[in-house]
Amino acid sequence: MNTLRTLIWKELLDLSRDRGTLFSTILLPLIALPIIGIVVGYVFQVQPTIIAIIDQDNSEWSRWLIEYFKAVIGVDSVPVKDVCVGVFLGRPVILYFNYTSVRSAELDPKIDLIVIIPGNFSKLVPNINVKVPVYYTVKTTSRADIAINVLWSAVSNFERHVAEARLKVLAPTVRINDIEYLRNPVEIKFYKLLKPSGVVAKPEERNIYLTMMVLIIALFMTISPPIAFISDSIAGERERKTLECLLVTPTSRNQILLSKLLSSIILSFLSSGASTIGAYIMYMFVLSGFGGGLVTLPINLEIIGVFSLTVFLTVFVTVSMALLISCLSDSVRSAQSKSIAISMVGSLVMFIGLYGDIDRLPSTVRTLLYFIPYTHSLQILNQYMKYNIYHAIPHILYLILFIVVFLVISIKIFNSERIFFGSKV
Amino acid sequence: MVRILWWRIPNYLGRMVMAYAVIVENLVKCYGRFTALKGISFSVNEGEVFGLIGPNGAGKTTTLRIIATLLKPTSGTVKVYGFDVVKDANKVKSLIGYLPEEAGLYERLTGYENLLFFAKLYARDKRELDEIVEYGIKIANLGDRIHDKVKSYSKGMKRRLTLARTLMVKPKLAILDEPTVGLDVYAAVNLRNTIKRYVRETGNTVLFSSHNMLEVEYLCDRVALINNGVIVAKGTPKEIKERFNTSNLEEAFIKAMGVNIQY
Repeated sequence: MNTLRTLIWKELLDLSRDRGTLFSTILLPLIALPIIGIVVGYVFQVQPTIIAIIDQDNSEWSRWLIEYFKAVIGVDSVPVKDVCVGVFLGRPVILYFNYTSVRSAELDPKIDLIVIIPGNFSKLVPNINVKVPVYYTVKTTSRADIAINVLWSAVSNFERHVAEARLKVLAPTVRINDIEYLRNPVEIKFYKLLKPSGVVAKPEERNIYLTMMVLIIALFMTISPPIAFISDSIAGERERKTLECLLVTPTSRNQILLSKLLSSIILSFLSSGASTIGAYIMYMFVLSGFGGGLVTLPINLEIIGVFSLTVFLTVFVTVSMALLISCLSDSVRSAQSKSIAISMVGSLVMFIGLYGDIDRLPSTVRTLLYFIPYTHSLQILNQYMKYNIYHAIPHILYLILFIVVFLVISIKIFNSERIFFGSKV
Repeated sequence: MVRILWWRIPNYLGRMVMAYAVIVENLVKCYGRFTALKGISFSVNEGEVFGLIGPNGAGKTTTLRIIATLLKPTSGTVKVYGFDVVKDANKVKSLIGYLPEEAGLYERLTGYENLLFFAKLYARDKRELDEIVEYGIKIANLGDRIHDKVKSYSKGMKRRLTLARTLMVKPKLAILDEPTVGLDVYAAVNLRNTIKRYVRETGNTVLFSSHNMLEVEYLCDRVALINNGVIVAKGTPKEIKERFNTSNLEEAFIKAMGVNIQY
């Protein structure tokens, strides 16, 4: 009978009855990640940015400025007395006009930004020799950036209006064909879209960095399931006293080890697929919270292929390390506690990948990071996204080297008497 | 070809005439600075039930693990049906069945699936597989419960299943480490009878360790008493009782261990 197939059959049968593990490794990412995305998106959407506008001038010009505020958040110029509710970049924004003093607005905790139109506003607007001040006070809230964006958009639109008025005053004295050339002398035109390497990118690759973020999250979520599986598989077999019975069968120890490796890779691939789908949906919902509407991220078969290769190598290197720890641990708990170090190192690299670029780090730091296998997992994706798969080959080779080293040590231990005693020898 | 055969003939002839299932010679096993076995020697005849008796920590399990190829001797030799447990470990593994003292089972699998899994590791074809599993089910004697998950079994049922798993492949040498430890009287008697029946049916050899002298007297043709890694006595239960001038094996054991027990 095919021994390896039999060993894998047992592992998978056992795993298929372990509902807890199946739920936490496959179903949970598929359910939890989209829920996180929905909640984050929802929280961003339902928490309005509130701006208090205090008009100390109460003139036609100041009312014009207020109209621009309303226009920016998509409110028609129908007069609204105290409050206006609108949307800016998919996020709700409320404008309040009922504050009688600056201090009262400052003391109101729900206000994110206070705009003060000073008393001499209307006098200064027509004067072509001065800049017209509009004051603002900002609070340290998570929505302050949105509020400032609203302010800048409204003021820049108002500026065009003022500039136009001022230019009309000047126009008769100077020969001007079109005041638009004076008002907007520079025109920004799109030239080309490039990858960081300088290679021309396709239009659909504009948001490829977002796809990269999804893949990094999904990649590092694949680390935990094989650790749990391998810890339970080797230290667990010893703890549950099934290992000795297995080792005296005519099966070779390397076949037993290989069956555990392959089974954990099967589990990890299922988990990784679920995590990728979950992370993709999560990002769509999170981005919908920022930008309004569901955003689809660029993904294609080539990316899926490179990602699958990266997952395979990452899982393999994780399993090799977990195997070593499991062989040397007295119990499942001990193996899992020690394996937390692997997850933590994985998280460290994940955060570097999410918030930085390894290629831009000083060479000494980069060299140190290259001693961590997961850095190469990250770099495979990174180099592929920046250049192409050929630039990722050195990192693929590094990962294979790590796998071989850890596996050789694990095989040596698994074939020795240490396998019975864990750390007690 | 002729040369290869010439070399092998004495080897095979030796095995054909040999009547020993196990030969242990000057076996030493050290764990770091601790010496668990201090040069023990004994032999087990083919077709007999041999008991290795001793207090906790005497070296019984280490001896059985070495015979089962799980541990390597520090020095000395151990042969099973003429095959060296270190050099011919794979051959030895195909001849033995080993039941550790605390043998576990795959709890999420049914009793049947547990037997099927181990049977698949031994069987060469479907017919042999069916035979092994059928025999395993017979030894386990769990009725319809064989299709229930092992986690729902009692301790006695689990032990019956582990014994079935060990014996179903009809190993030429069954190594049983304290097979009845922790079982109630009914379960222990049941298990002892199964072992006895197995020996009667197959004529194979059984090497087992135990604390229960009643069990030893009931099952064993010969025994070896081991203490602190040294064999202190060996022979048939009758010979040992006579040597220590006692009416039962328990008292002989106490005397052999050199312990003075006040009643």
